[in-house]
Amino acid sequence: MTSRKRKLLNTTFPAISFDKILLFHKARTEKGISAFECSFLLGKHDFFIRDAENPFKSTLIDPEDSVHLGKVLSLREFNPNTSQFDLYKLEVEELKIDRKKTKRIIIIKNDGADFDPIEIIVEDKEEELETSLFLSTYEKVQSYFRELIANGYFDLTRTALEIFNTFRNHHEFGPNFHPRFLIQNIRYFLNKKSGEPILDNSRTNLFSRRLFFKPLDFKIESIKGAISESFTAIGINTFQQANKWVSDLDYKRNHDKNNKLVLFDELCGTCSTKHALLKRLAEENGDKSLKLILGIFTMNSKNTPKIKDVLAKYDLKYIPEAHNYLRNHNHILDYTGIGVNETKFELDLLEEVEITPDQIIDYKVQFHKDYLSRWIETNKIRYTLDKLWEIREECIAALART
Amino acid sequence: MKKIAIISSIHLYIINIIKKIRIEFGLSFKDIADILEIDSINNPLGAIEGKSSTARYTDVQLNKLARSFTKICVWEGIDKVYTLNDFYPPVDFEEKMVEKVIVKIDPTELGQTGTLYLLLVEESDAFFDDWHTSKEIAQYCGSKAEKNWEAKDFTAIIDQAVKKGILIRKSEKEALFKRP
Repeated sequence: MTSRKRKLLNTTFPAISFDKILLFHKARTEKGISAFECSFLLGKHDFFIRDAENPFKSTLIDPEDSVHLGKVLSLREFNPNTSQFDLYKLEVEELKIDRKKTKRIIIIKNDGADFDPIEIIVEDKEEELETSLFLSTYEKVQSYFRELIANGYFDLTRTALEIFNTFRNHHEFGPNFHPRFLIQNIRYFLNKKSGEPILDNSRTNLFSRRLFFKPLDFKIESIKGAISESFTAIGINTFQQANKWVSDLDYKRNHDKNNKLVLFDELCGTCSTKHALLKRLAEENGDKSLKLILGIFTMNSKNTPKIKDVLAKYDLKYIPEAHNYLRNHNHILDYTGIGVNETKFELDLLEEVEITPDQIIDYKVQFHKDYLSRWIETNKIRYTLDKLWEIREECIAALART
Repeated sequence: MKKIAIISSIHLYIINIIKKIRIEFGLSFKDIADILEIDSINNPLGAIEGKSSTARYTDVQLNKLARSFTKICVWEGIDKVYTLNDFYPPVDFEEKMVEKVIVKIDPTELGQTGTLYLLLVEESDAFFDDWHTSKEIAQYCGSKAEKNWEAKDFTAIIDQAVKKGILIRKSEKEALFKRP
């Protein structure tokens, strides 16, 4: 390979962060794990590591990602030695070494610094590095992957690292297993064009790591009950289609919440009637994993900006509010259709209880009021329960205003 | 009504480790702010160690702390070089969101400097509202730390505390000490 073009640039970078990036770069290239494979296992975007290794980008590997990468690369210690510098002055030479490849030669130019030049090859997304780790074969990895899907492993949301560890803990693959074919298989089971799109990767966890799971779905059989019959009558034949239909309905209080089919009559609903309908649909069709949940969460100006003025008027930081949603194994499903972010919502949860669809009316109100009474007492709130309920109604009214 | 902040278990681990080392070395929030070269007017360290804020340390800050803690060790003749590894959890540590529960440091976990600082400054122990001799201070700290400390173990530490202004000496002639 001969150099074609040269470019010399100067930049600065936080010294300890740069040393850490070099430590991880060395560890991953020694193991033959590409920048893309590392980013994938970190659960971040495809070019996260490539960006982190680029001194002209501001991407840093924070403490959470450091521990995560330590796990991916099986490192016992994952921090460099203390740096005597706060900031490095870097001289970066970029060399085009072939049509697609660039090499960076980085020299630390701080006074008193005595480091060897650092060479980093900028990797393509699909770059496959040489490795001494155990690759296995694409087919063998797929075979175990199918076994996991069949055994309900993906009924729960999983990070890429969790899946990788499951393989590393399996006797056929072992602790020296290389993630290449695993990642290729995960992508195969996501691919809508040329794969088998069994998995969903639309969610991230609270650490912004991509999650993989098999969404709950089943065929709706009209003979199973009145709700199933009502869905199939309007051409909805799967649970996933039903979720979408419910979510798309207007968010509006129903006149007759006791009517199990009210959504079909009034073509609108709230969190309680919408999720009760889906729970009943699942029950009719024999699904036992889906749970209808009554949760109490901190309704505040951050998660509900429209109530900011009402809270300020009464000098409250938040009000505990009741919300209905579904839980399937370890994740929340919210089809209210008002843009609730299930991951963030979970952070605001104060208490939750599983309920039956019949409990969305009186029981829900009583549970909520009982919680508020305890909250008033524990937090020495200066309002009575009746007054607080009025304030809450004012918040709901503010929410309804467009 | 102040809600406990929810933060990552990794950041919380680091905050609690730094708190323990800070107290062990007898360093105040202001001392840490000075090491980090940040304005202490708004008490940023109070936020980091406070339960209702999600504030936490960055690697750049941890590097500065590691450098300063190592310097303190050199001054005190302790053979220890701090790195970020001393502040980070072990690799098998679980990543999850947790309530920001800042650990309460027990004197039994600390040496003489840390115990004196903990009782005198962090816990505002009423013992230091009255005048005491070095011997009484050593005995009191020892009783809390469950150790048999003597006055000579505290001579330099009390001198240092007087220099820092967290203890005052009654007079040149009377070696009695109390909180200012």
